Amino acid sequence: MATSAFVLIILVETLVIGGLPLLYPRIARRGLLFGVYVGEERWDGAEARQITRSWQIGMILWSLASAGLSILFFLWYHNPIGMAIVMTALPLALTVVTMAVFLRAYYRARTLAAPGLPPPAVALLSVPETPLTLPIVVMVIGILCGICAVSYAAMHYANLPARVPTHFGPGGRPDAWRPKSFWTVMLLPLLTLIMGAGLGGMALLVSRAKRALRFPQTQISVEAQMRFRQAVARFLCGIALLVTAMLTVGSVGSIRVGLGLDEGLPPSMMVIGIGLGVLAFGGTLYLALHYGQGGARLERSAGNAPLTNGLADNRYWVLGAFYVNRDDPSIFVERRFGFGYTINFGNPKAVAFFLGFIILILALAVAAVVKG
Amino acid sequence: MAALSMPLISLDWNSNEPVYAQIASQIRARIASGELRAGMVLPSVRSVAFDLGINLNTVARAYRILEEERFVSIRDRAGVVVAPPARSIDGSVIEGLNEELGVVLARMRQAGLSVAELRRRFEGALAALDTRGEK
Repeated sequence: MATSAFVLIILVETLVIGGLPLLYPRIARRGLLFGVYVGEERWDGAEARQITRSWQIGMILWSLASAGLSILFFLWYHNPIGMAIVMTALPLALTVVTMAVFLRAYYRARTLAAPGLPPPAVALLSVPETPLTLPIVVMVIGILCGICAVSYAAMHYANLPARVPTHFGPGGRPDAWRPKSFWTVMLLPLLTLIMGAGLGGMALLVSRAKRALRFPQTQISVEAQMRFRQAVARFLCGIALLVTAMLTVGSVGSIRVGLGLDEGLPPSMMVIGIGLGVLAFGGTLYLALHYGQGGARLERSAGNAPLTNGLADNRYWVLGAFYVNRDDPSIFVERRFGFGYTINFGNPKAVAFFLGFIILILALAVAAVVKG
Repeated sequence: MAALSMPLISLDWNSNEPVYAQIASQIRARIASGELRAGMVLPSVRSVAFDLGINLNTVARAYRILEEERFVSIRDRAGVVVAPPARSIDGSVIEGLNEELGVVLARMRQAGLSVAELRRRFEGALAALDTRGEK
């Protein structure tokens, strides 16, 4: 790869990981400052603005420093190993930078935290819930596709040759083979099943995520939050469908290549992959800029009313990022900093869902490497 | 989205009143004011606990108290439904409520309100109840 192309990759990566978070102040919920509820009035104050400015400067400087060091290292150690080191180290460095700069801002924001107990918590007694039909249909499609992929692989297992393709190049042609085993054949089909069910399940849980409303002026914030939650659930459904479709085509396609029926994976897989990338990146950006954190940009005048429920309660947030409330049966809650949802780490069911999903995928990867 | 009519419960963390009692008293007040009408389905125990971030048992306790007082009926499938006003007077319930009224009046008297002021407030509350009930 040409040096200029690699430098361009480094800059794009820096822009995505280190630069995109800079949009956060534009989408933030009033009252929340770097994972701390400081109240709506202080949120607008000079001290809060100073903390935000300092965070922005920190993000820009440290991200540029990481990119600059990566480029210098690559120019000095100009070979494929140097390229591999930079490709691994840069995202890690940018992640560490993002976390470190956030933590500094978090500890500064804590000095502005609203004193005393949080504002009232609010529960609605009669409001229609976000419809669950779409997420349920998507989850069922995911499970069915997964079952089809697993069945197809199981049906043809005996007819597969002693070596099966395990990696495919950019054109969909196989470029690596390994001896046939349960794991080399079943990895992708099982992954299809887990991802199909898991991503659909995530959309379902987001549709029932905890409501962090404002009180008074609750009505406007309910409408904002319901529209936001429904939009995020639909977005996740789209992602789940595309991931399921890509993995199903990949699973069936790789078996067909192994059987000698096709020379490579179908081109549709690449089309779906590109569509997935565009939807994931563009969709997140659109949702964040259009709706804001938790629908904050639709709240307008209601944004001056105090936040309620989990989001306003500093007692249950560890480092401004982890919601830990053992009494709360909620599984998904809105994130305090950034965009989207996180889990209630105090709820064993939520932790089991999250860990189960991660462990299953890791276990599949490890089994494929060790036993494959 | 259509305009939402939104009766809600708000929990005051600074209050000395236990959380379950706050939930029960607010639902009771909304039923009395006509905001929650007979036959309306209240959110499930889980849904209220989700929103408020409190234990399921706390909400269940509030609903049980309301059921004992006949403000709601808890049905397996339909969930928690606002009960219609009783057609016949239940002596034990009236006795319990009367006792509560006595406690409230005594506390108001203790807080420094005169008997005349108590009477005025009592009549005001009754008039407000009548007006809301007619809506």
